[in-house]
Amino acid sequence: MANNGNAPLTLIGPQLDSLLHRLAECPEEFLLPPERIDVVALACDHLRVLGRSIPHAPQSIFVLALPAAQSLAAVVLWLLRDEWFLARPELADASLTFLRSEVLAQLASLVPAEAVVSDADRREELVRLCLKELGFCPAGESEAQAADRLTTLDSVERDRVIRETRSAEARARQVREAMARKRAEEAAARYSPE
Amino acid sequence: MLDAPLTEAERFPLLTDRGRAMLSRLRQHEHAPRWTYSCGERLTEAGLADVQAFAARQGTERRRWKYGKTPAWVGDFIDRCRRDVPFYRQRLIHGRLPTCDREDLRREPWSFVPDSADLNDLIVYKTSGTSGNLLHLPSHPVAPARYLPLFESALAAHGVALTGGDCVSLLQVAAQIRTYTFASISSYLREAGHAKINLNPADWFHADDRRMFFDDCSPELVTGDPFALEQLAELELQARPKAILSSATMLLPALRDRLRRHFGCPVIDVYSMNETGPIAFTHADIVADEHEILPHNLFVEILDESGEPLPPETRGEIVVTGGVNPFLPLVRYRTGDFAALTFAHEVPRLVGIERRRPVVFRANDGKPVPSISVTVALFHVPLPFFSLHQAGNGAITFRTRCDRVSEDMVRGALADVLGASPVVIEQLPWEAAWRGKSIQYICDLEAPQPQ
Repeated sequence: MANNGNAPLTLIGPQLDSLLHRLAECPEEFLLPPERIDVVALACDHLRVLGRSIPHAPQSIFVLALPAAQSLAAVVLWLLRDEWFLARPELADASLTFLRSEVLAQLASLVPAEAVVSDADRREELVRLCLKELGFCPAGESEAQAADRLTTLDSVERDRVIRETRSAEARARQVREAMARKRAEEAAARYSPE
Repeated sequence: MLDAPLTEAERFPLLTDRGRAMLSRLRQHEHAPRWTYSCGERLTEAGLADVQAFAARQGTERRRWKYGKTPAWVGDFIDRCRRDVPFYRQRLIHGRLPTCDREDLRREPWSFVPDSADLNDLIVYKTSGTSGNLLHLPSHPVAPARYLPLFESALAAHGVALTGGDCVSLLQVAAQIRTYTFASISSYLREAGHAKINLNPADWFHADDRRMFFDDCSPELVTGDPFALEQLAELELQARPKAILSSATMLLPALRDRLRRHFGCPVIDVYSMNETGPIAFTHADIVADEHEILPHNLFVEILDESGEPLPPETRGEIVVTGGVNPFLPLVRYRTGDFAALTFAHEVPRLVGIERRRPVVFRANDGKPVPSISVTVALFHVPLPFFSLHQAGNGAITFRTRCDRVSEDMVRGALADVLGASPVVIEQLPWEAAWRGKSIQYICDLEAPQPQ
């Protein structure tokens, strides 16, 4: 892929620790169930803080999001209120894209929003995922190191491997059963001795 | 347990009136044997198209590679196996290509079946090797049918072509106490007849029926193991096949020549295994002990015990990649047989195939004598089978079934290769011969130390 100009593809981001710390201190009201928290209002607040205009029909931001994705989006909005992001209003559009992304929805389907706050690995996964989707590496890490670390934490990938293993086991069982059944059945005529 | 019978439509999905007439002719023939089994080709339209496409590739693709190189198709084949076959997915990693063997097939045959395989097409063959371990091999109806284009390829090298259609194209003869016998047809050969018969008189209503049935079928091609073919030559047959294919055990050149003279047609030795299908055959121009690689989609290597390739003309284990069976793709499968490869001809050839681990005998003067040397010494004796046993005290027992002239030739040949040791030749009763069909070497002496 072409890289126009000399800008690196991935920019140097904030200190990982400060974002982890912020996420760990996510207030309980951000973790309320979606029916008790207005995620659209949180998103609009965020845009307002960044000095950006509110979309004409703000409720469309999360119109298709499932409850679990909305819960996680609320936690992400808390994370994005970190000073580092607030100092970069140009990230507003990318942030909105991330909030509505398939990758965040997938993570939400596997990891509850509470775990993203309370569990150290899931916390780190969300922070790293957020930075990656916005095009940043944690400060002090190379792009490769950051990618490597995220792969280790990747819930979606781990789930894929587990499902593949399960489906491989199911297939092996199917073939074994089919062989046992067909063992007792006529095969096909052969033309020479062996 | 008896095999669950299939319906006629399952046995012959493509049967037409022509094939039906051929089946009736074979099954209800007035001199037919007591058929002991029912089975058919099981080829569907897609299966037949596959075999025809395989035949087209066999006709056009080169069976040629140079030592140290692999044919172009091998890389793609291995990649496919790595993606689609559970057994290889776990093993072919980090660029490694480890060998596998019969024990892998015995332990987990199902793991060789590709993920993309439709299990409705699965069939299973049972086979017991020389070690006596029963194997269950996953297979597909196209696997046995793909033998036919390979046979055609071997026949073409001897100037023979099968016609197929309204005739019996192939008669497989056995000479055993008991075996499956059946009548079938082959869609690939335009519904020509195909039958397997057992020459044991107990399988027939009258001993003479064997001759009459064979003559009336007048098959284009006869297949069998050397003992069965020798037994066939004992019958006073009128019919003359276009060619004879011998397989299962090694055909000694003297028996091959005797059969060729008797039947007046080419007699081709096919080196073939259940797991791999046909591997190599004796070409028309062959005078020495050479077998030309037969399938276009089989890559053959000679490896040492550690899995390292050996140079041309050096003996080691025959290891194959590819094969006819889409439900048992083989990547570096150790056959348990031994030979050298030569690249002196257009297509690579195996030299001095030994169908088991080599044995080292001790000559009268103490010199080690590898079993291949004994086989070569016996090339000019027309034996259907034999075993050679050297006891711990060096005494030699040779078991076979042959006439007095051949027995004297055996004594001479063994004296040439092993020195003037006393040799006991045991003539096995016919009943034993009908059970055994192989060449066996056993040595109770301790292996000689490397010099």
